Amino acid sequence: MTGRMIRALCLCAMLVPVSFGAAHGAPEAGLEYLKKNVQTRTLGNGINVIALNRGYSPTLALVISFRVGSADESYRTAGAAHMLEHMLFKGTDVIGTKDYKKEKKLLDEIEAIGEALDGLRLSSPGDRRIPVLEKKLKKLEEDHAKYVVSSPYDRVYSEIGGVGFNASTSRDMTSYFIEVPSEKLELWAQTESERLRNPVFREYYKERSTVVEERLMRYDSKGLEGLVERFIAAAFVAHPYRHPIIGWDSVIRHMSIRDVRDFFRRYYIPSRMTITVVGKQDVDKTFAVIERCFGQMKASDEPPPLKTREPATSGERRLEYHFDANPYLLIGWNKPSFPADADYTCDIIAGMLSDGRTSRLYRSLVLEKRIAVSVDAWNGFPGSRYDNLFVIAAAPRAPHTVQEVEAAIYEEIAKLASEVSREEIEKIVNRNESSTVLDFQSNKGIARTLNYYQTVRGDWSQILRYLEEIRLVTPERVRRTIETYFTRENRTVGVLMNKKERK
Amino acid sequence: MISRHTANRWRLSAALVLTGILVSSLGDAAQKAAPTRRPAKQAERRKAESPRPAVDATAVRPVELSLPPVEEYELENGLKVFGIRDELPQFTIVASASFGKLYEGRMNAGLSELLARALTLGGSKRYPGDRLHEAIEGVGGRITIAASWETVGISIRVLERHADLALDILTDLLTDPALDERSIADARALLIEEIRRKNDSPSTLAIEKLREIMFDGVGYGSNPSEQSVSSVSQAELRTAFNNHFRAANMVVGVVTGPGTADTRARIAKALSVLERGARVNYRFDADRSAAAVRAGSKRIYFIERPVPQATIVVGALAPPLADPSSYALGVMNYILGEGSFSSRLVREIRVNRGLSYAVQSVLRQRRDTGIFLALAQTNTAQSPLTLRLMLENIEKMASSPVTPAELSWARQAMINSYIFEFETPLSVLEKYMTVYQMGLPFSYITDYQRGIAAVDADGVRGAAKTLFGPGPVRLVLGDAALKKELSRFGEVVVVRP
Repeated sequence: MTGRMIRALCLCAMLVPVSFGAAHGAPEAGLEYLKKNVQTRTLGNGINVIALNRGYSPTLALVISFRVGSADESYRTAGAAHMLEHMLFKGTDVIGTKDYKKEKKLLDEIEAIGEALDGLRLSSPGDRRIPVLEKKLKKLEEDHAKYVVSSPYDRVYSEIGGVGFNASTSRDMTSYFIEVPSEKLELWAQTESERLRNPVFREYYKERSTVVEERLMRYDSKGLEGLVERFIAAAFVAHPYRHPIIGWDSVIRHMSIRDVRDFFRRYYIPSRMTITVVGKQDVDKTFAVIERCFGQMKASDEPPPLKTREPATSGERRLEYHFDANPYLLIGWNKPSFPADADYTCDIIAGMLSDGRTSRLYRSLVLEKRIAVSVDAWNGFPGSRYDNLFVIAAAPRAPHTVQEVEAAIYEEIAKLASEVSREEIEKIVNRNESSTVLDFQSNKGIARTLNYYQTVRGDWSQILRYLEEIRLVTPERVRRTIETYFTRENRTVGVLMNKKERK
Repeated sequence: MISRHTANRWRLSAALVLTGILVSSLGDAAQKAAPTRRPAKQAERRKAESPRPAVDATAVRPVELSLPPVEEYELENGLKVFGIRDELPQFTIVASASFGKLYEGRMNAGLSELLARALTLGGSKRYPGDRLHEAIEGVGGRITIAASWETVGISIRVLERHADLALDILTDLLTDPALDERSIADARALLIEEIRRKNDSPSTLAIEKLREIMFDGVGYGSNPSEQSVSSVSQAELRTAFNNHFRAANMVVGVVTGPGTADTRARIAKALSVLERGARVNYRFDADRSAAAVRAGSKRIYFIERPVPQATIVVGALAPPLADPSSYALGVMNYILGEGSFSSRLVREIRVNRGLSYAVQSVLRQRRDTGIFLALAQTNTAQSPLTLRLMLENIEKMASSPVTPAELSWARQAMINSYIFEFETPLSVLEKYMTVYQMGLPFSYITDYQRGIAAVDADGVRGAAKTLFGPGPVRLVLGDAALKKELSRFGEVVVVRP
């Protein structure tokens, strides 16, 4: 598994800007193009709407995000944001039901028995009432199935040609996305606004089992993913970034439907919501449709801000994870998130260390020393709403060990601090600039990036300022940042060890 | 870039593995190709066109496709070139040779992958190794050299003003590749390490082993090992390059920005130096695969691994894309397991029972062969039930007709979503290149929606009967405790990773 694969698979929030570009001219003209063509509205209830008319294809990429993720959970609710995301696919009191009145009675009974069962399983696992209640729950679920139209949105969207109907939960945000033909905008807006109006958590316990299976697949059957989970938990001793997005197995198995519903009511509020529409469209019409459909959502008070801040580190944290898999190394240093200068400097450092085949770590560890098969560095892990990590991930090349790779990484970082030049920084800035053209391809990518900036960084136009910020990075800033943050006392080291070789 | 630290609800990582393993690096264009074009000259008809399918009046009106024009021409040396304009000031050039994993057998499995990596690391005479990447990365560009099932492609992307550099690099790579001993040794070592690590993923391992069984280790069944990769010599790599990176065996696609002029003349000047060579097709031994599947379908294969979740894979041989049953097969697969939550496998196994997060079926048809795979991952205790449900649903596709509602839904979904295959200029270009390399008539591109609209329930059942007739091949990876349970499904044959 390469670092690049991990990056894509589960882990990072990283180098920031770049998925943008120009319609004409040089890269900077690309940012100018965005400035000129992206249009925004804030609805009366606080929902932010971003629209960009572009392209030749009569299609739209649509994203709805909420500024809520696993960072907003407690130990009791770890996994609730993700569970809620699953439940938002189950319909409402008018979608996905054949007779809601009759269905509701059964749903209430199912919930009462389900909650009672969870309570007994936790407090008294050997209780004789458990199998009785399980049988009763199964019977009720069978009766309830008669009133359910399963996966109601999927059917509607697939029939109109929608693609990529999906959702994702991160530590910072939760997003719902799809691409549809442009002429279906209104149908989408009506469906999505209804979806958020009064979601019904039908088939909850079956879906909870699906999430248990998802956890088994993603984390418990793969060594690297298991390592990452524990690595994050070690790097954050207090901050909720330490919770896995999907939740721990024991919490998922007893996740209360009431907790998930409360989570929805508390966090899925207009002031935390951003809608992005990118593709061929009449932007004025788009705003009108969205106002009509989503303007009715009631504004609500912001939940209280998170109190917990990660305490200062005071010593290296080191862990091993034993699994039937090849060895792997993760090193992370705690650091501030944006808008701190150090965050932009860390983006440049990540570029110099691992962006491309001429980067320092790739050249040294993979090509010259030949001790690693892959090495990757990124900034902003595992989220960006709060202070986060700079991470380096590497896979040793047999028979070389993680210890050799780890030592070589520290050597390269020290070297970088002592010999960084203005030219090397400029090379990374230039790569970011050209990315503003080369990465400006799909509606989907642009929509998600605009949405991310608005949701997590509070303003989509931060994209425009990003290049200016990284241009301010100097060799001195790089040196200072490395001296301040890339220390032994401030790092967490995680090692995946092959169980078989341990024996 | 945005935060990717997410847990997706539906997009199954196992399914991604499935797709990743089956899809070519030129995009998932094998099954569907591109629509309208305005060629510089009429496209040659490379295979006899089949009669246009009749359109079903009940099918919905598909969204009109509105695409940028595609230019098509051929250099004197036989090199086919497709060109398209983009509104962005970029220059992207892709050179794709007909070669890849389907050309390999047991002894040389990994040859195309090794070639791609050795080219990446070694560069060319004027742009060796580091200098190649310094040149590209210095101007903020990207270069990718990758092997897929039927192609090995070199892709270079730069800002428009660096187009000459990109052309110069590509020409030097195609005419004077280094393929030196050091680069080959490095490429080999990296590839062997990645082969070892690939097996860390249960789904990847299970799928690769099933393919190996179904295709008897050849073509789709070739599975690179440390031994096969080690046995490939420098001379073999050079021969492979010289045989396949020739004008008549390649296709080039170019995306140019609004400020690029004289593209055609510049391409001609740069790439006319390529030797003509000849078209090289892989040889697919249909009888050998059919025999392997017949033998394999009587058993159930088992890979023992101490993980809490089992991976179940079921496979069948599919016909090439040009087969008349392909439209019906596509609809059949959509209803069975590709059509997300509304498909039968997902509904029965995930939605109704909560047995699995990752369950899906995939159909990939290529120039001369094809494969169907269904995959589910579930906890050890539920594995027998999940396998039974998979097999029952597969069997039902062949034994009873799909409902009118299912048929209508699948056809509408496939027809209406076709437009998304052409969202970017590069994706349009890649469709043309793929259709050309697969030897299909260009009318395939515009007939796709008609073909789907004409599929009926009998066609779906007939296609399923033919596909699953020999009996699907089954493989399970999971805990040792499963072995006994699986004996209920047939003779258990233990497979070593």
